[in-house]
Amino acid sequence: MSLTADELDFIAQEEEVEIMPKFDIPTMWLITGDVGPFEVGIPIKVPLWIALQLRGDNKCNIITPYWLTKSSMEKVKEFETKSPLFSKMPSRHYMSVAKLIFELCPEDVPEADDIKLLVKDVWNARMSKLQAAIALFIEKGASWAKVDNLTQMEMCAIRPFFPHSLEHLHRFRKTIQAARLHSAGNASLEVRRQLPK
Amino acid sequence: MFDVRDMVNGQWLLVEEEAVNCIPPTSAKMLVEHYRRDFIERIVGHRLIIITNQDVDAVCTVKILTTLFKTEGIQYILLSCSGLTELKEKYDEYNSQSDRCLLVNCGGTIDVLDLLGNPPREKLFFILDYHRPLNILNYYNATGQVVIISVLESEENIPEIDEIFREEPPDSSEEEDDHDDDEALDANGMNERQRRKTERRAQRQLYTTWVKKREHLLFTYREHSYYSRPSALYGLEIAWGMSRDDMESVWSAIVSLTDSLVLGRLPRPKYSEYASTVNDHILRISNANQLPRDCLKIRFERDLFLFLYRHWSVYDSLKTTPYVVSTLKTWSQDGHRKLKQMLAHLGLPLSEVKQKYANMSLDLRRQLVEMFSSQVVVENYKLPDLVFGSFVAEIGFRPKFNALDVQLATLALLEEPDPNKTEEERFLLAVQGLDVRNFEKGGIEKAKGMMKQVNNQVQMMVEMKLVQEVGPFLFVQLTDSMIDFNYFKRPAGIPLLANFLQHAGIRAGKKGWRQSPWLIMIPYDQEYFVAVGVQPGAFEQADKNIFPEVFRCIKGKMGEDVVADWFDGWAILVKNQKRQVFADLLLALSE
Repeated sequence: MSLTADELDFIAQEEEVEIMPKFDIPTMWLITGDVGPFEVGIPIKVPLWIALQLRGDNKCNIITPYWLTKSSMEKVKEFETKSPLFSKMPSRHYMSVAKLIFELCPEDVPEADDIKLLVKDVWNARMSKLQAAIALFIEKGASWAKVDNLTQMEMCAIRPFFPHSLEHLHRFRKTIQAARLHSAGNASLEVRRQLPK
Repeated sequence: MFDVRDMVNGQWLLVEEEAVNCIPPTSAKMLVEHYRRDFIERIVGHRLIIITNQDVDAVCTVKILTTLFKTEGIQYILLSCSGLTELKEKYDEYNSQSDRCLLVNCGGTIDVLDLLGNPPREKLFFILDYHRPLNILNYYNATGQVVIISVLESEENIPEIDEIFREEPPDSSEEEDDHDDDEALDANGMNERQRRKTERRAQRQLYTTWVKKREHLLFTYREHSYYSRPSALYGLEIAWGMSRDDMESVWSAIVSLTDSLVLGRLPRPKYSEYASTVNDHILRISNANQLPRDCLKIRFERDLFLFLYRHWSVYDSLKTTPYVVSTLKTWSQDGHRKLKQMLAHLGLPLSEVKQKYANMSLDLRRQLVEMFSSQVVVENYKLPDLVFGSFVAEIGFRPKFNALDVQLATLALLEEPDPNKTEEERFLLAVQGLDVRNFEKGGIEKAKGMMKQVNNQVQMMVEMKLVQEVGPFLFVQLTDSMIDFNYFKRPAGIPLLANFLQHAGIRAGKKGWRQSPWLIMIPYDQEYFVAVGVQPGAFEQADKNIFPEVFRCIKGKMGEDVVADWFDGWAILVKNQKRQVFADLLLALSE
C-alpha cells in the first residue's frame, strides 16, 4: 500500500487537537463520531480536520499540542542528534500536523519561527540516520533490517527511491552473474571454481 | 400640501419638507445599538443585497463585511452604483430577490424609502453611511424599516422629535357648521361655540410660529455637509462584535482611515483619535506574543507624508506630493531650487535621493524620518506636517508597504479611466486589489500616473493663470486636454485634485485668496463639466461644506441642465453651454 504525501496529510487530520471555540452550538452528530457541544471560551478536543476548517473561518483558536512547543521539540532534537536509534515521536504524524498548523495559523503558535526550525532539524536528523542505515544495508548486502519508530511520512519519503534502487541493484547483480557464467563457459575449470555462486 | 405615504395606527405621516406635520412615529430613533442583535441576527437566514457607493471607504467596508458574511454563511449580492439614479435602478432590478438591504456610503442624506418607492413593510434597510447630515426621515422613521448603523457624535445636533413632528390642529373653518345645540352661556358670558373658536384660533397661531421655527431649524441642520467616522471602522467593529476580526480587516480599516485623511474628509485631530483606536485593535489582536514571520504585522509609527516614496525615488515623490509642492512652490524655478536647497541642508546627496528607494543606502533610508521631522525642515521650510502617524504593514520577507501607498493604489484602481472597464468592474477590481497577501503592483503604477496628472494640472493652472476672481468666488477652469485621460471624474478622487489646486492657487496668487471659496470646473466629457465647490481653507483642515445646499438651489432653478446625482453634494454636472448661467446663479445666491 503506497500512500502519497497528500494522502498522509489527509490521514493525519484524524489526530485529536484542542481548540477554543468562539461560538456556541450544541453537539454535532457526524458519521465518524460526535463532536461538541461547543461553548465560547471552553476548550474542547476535536479531530484536526474540524479544527482547521473552523480556524479557516476564524471561528476558533487552535491550542498548540503539548509537543509542538519549543522546550519539547528541543528535547526531541537533542535525543535524535545524539542517539543512533530513532526515538518514538510524540505523534505518529508529527510532520503533517506541524505543516498543516503552520500553514493555516502560525499566529496561534507561540515562538512559531523557532519551532519551525526545530521540527525541520529533527526531520533532517532522522532522515540522515535513515540514509546512513540504508547505505549500510546495501553495503552489507543484507536482505532484511528492523527499524523501530519510523513515522509513515519518513517511510513515504524514501519509498519511491528505496525499493526501486534495490531492484536496480538486483538487476545489475543478475546481469553480472549471467555475464560471468557466460564467459566462464569458455574458461578453464579453475576459473569456474573461483567464480562466486 | 402633503403627500400620503403610509398609515400607521390610523395616523398620517410626513413626506415633503414644506408639508404639514403629523403625529410622531411611535418607534422614534432607529440606530443600531447592539451589532449582533440589531444587525447580524436580522440578516442571518436572509440573502442580503449590498449596494455601495464607489469610493475607497466603500471598497474597504465591503472587504471587511464580505469576509465576515462568508464565514457566517450569509449570502449576499454585491452591487455598486455611482449615484441616485443608479441606486434606484439596481434596487429595482434586484429587490425581488431579497428583503434585506445594506446601503454602504449611500442613502444616508436622502429619504431612502421615498426614493425606492415605498417598499413593503418586510423590507429592511440598513444604512452605513459617513455622509452627514443624516436625513431626519431616515432617523425618525415610523415604519421601522430604516436602521442606521452609526454612533451619533456630539456635533450632529439632530433636532428633537417634537420639534419636527406635531399634530396639526383642526382647521377652524371646518367646524363653522358645528352643532348649534349647546348655546348655553357659561360663566364668562360667551357661549360654548365662541369659546371653542378663540381656543382654536390661539392654537392655530401657536402652530404657525412652530412651523416657522421648524423651517429655520431644518435649514440650519441641513446647511452644512461634512463627513463622520469612516464606514470601514464600523465594519471592523461589527466584525469584532462577532469575534471574527483579524489583521486583514484591521488593515482595510486603516486604508479607509488614511483615505479620509488624504482626501480631506477628516481633520487631523480626528484622524489621530481614530488611529489610536485602531492601534488598540492591533494590540488586542496580536496579543503581545511575537508574531511569526508569515503573519501580517501592522505597526503604528511615524512615517513620511510623501506619496508613494517607497515605490519611487524620494526625489520624485517630493516633487509630486501636493503638500510639498504647494508649500515650496516647486512649479517655479525658485521653488525647485528651494527643494534642492532643503535636501542639501539635510545632508541628503542628490544622487542618492534620485535613485529608486530600494536602491538607496540603508543608512540614509533609516534616517529619513528623523531628517524630515527635524527643526530645519519645520521652521526654515515651513513643512511641519511632513511626518505623520501612519501604519506600516509587513508580511514574510517582502518589502514593507504603508497605508498611504495602498490607499493611493486603491483610489487609482477605482478611478482609472479605462474605457473597457465599467465602473462596477473597477470597483470589484479595487476590492480584490486590497488583498494584502497578493498585493499587486499594478495599482501603484496607476497611482503614479494619477499623481503625475494632478501635478500637470496644477502646473497648467499656475502657468496659464487659470484662476479668475469673480465676486466672492475664485473660479478655476481646467483645460479640455484632460478629458480622455481623467482620473478625477467622480467625488471619490476629486478632493485630491481640488484641495491641491486650492493650496497651490493660494500660494501662487494673492494672500487674500485664503478666505474665498473656490469653484473648480473640471471637464467631464463633450457635454458636461463637473462643478466642484471647495470651502476656504479646505486643504488645511476638513471643514463643513455649504456647497451641497447651494447646488441644490441651483439645481432647482436650472432643472435639466444640471445633473446632481452623486451622493456627495458638493460636485455636480453642468452642461457646457450653460456655464455662464450657472456662474450667474451662483453669484446671485451668494448675496
